[in-house]
Amino acid sequence: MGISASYLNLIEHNRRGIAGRTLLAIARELELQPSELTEGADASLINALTETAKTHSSAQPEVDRIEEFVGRYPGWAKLLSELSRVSREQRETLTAMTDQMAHDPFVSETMHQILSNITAIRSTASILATAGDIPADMQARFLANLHGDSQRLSETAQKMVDFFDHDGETDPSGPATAVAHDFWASHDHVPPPDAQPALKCGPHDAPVLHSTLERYQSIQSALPAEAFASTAAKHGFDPLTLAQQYDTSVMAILFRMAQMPPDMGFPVFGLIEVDMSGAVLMRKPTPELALPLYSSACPLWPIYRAFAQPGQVLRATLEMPSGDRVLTYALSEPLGNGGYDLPALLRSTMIFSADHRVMSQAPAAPVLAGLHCSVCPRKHCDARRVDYILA
Amino acid sequence: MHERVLLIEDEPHIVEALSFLLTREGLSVSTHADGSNAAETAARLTPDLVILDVMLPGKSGFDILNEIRGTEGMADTPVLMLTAKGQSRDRAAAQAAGASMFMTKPFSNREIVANIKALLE
Repeated sequence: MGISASYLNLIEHNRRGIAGRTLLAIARELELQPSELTEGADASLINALTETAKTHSSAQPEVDRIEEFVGRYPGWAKLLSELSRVSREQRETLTAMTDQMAHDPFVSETMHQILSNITAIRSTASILATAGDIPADMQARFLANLHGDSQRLSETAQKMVDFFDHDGETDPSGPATAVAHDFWASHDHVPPPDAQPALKCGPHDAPVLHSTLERYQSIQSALPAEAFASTAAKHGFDPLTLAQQYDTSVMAILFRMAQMPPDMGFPVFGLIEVDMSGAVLMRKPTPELALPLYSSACPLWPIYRAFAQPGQVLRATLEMPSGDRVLTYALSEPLGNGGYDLPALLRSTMIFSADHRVMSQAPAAPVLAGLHCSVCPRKHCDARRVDYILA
Repeated sequence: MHERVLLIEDEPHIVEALSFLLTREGLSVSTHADGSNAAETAARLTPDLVILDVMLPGKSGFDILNEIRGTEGMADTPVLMLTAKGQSRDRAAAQAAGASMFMTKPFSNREIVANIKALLE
């Protein structure tokens, strides 16, 4: 079999694991199935522990003795592997939550308000404490400002607490979707062609991610990026014209436009995709238009109106409260073939861009929209469902 | 002649506190609370220094700074930018847009007054 007697002795006493050609050779010799010999010395367990050892190399684990460790202490080895997996998943969840903290419009706006309140309080209190001869009317005014600011600070802080206080409930779709969002963001929203096989197991097993990866791979072969870039420029980045030109669906064109490699000079398009409950399936924000991580965008966005007109491309200019404008194309389509007497399942997609080459096609009259109500200062909006937090 | 400062900030109580402080330091303070026509106000007043908040209703402080830098006679006017975020990308964006100095909220009165004096020297 090509192995020494002493090594065979180590294997027999569970001090070495066996795999590969050695395993097959011994199994053949003993007329057993390879799986019968690997019981207790799982190759995947050895691989997992090897990965763990690499990740925590500062502890200087004896990598060359992993097989012996697994062979002699299979229970401890499984426990260590399990703890390592839990730790890795918790790190990924933490990363997703950090992403939410950094990009959620509500958190960002609330933090801005809290810091502004603190600045006003600190500055005013400092004046009252250190400036000796403040006129009485100014003194009264500063005291009133302090009172108002401290009250606002307390209310804003309470809203922040309410935002995070879910009584321990977790959204089961949250972490998986967050992993998908994190993946898209870390790949600049253009996945490498071979990404899918590597993501078929473990915590990345998010249906949302796989669905979008599959769609990307299909359009990548049908609409190669370089040729598409020049054709799109020739036709004014107009999705309908491009769909006719390529004899393909408008949805494929929308997806392609939002997933172009970043170094091609193509206008930057953001993308948001939602299901009929409003849950965000995919998001690619741009500096001009932030996007909610899960739900609660502005109901005036055409992505929601598209559900009322499946298959119809809606074009609209959105103007944000900041004055930024983006041109949007929205389209909803049914998912799968459906079934008799069942409600249609639709998915709505909206792409958007503020690039001047795209904005030249924009309708002149914009829709005055926002990100979502809690961070939208527009008064008298019929679509408002919650108060503006800074009101 | 008092040196003239334009304070572009939408938080009224910060405006009041800073106006009080700077006036006491012998500066002439004008204020503007809306982002949408802030650059026009700056062009009209041609102040010796601009204090500019990053997050304003109507237009971002970075866009306003770009417009100010494009205004005749204001290419070298000192601009102190204020932000409540303090993230490194905001600092980089402020530098790229031509800010003279960048401060994060909350700041101390002593610190901001010292910085303004340094920029006016």
